Amino acid sequence: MRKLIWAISGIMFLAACNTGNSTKTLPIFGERTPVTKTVDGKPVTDTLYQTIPPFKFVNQYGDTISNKNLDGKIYVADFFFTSCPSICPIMQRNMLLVYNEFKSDPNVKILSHTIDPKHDSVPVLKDYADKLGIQGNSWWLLYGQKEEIYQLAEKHYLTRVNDGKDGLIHEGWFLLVDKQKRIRGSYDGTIPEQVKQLIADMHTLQLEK
Amino acid sequence: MKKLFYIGLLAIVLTSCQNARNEEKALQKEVLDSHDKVMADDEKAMINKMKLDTLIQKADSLKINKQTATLLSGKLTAADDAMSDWMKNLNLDNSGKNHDDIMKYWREQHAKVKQVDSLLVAATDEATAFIKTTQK
Repeated sequence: MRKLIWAISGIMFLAACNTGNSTKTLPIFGERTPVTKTVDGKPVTDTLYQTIPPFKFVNQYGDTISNKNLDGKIYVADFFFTSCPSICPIMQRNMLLVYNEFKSDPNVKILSHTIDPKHDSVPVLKDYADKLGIQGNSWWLLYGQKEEIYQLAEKHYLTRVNDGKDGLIHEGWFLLVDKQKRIRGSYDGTIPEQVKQLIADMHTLQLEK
Repeated sequence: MKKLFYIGLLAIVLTSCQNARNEEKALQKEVLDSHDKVMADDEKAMINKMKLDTLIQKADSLKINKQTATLLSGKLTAADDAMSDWMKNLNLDNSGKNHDDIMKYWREQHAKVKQVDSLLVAATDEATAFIKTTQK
């Protein structure tokens, strides 16, 4: 009888652990707006989450990349420039860990936006990508108008980490975006432990429909 | 006795080399820390430029001085360009240079980055003051 009690306890314990893992979800960040719709004649309130708005940039291969290229995909965004002497080399070294983990999954992308388009032309970005060992289409280094990049960063990607301090765009943040283009996580790209957490969270996000 | 003398001499030379390298590294770090601070000022400048550019587009309906707004936006662009150029030309590899030349290089870069920062701060302050007048 005692054996049976232990066996049942063990099964319950394992079941509880399994449930914990499979139901893990990441929080959704950003503004949310309640929207009331009528379903079957009854009012139903739904929540609209803030999403990354449409954009269009050019990658290191000279191809135009828009928000549509990210439909149904999860991605990590960050901000850098090729001549950055301080944090960018550390960030990109850490981003290589993310790249190597997910480069074979076509539904995972990395978007690194240059904040110095005056000097970081498409050939400069290609050269930088080659030096980092980036191949294929899983990590795009993106060129665009500086104002557009700052607009996207300040009003969308970095709102979650805005603590009122100056200089957000050059703080080394990695932003995790889901298939619906909602921010699901922010990580200090200069800290290896946070990058490990990002990788773990990306695996969690991959399982979401 | 002669051996002891050479060992002592070698130790002195190695210590002074290490001190020189530490001095170079400390000054380089000071310049790079300044760079991070200036990046924050550059971001403020860009935010102001975006605000000004929006105002310029609506200048007629808002009845603001388009010429002044355009001039201030140009100053922000010039300061941002100066920052961008400084970063592009900064050379972290000073191998082959002697200690005095390396120290001279970093002192010059420190002065340059401070000058760029002054440009950014001045242009941002001017733009902020103008934007405030449009909000009355």
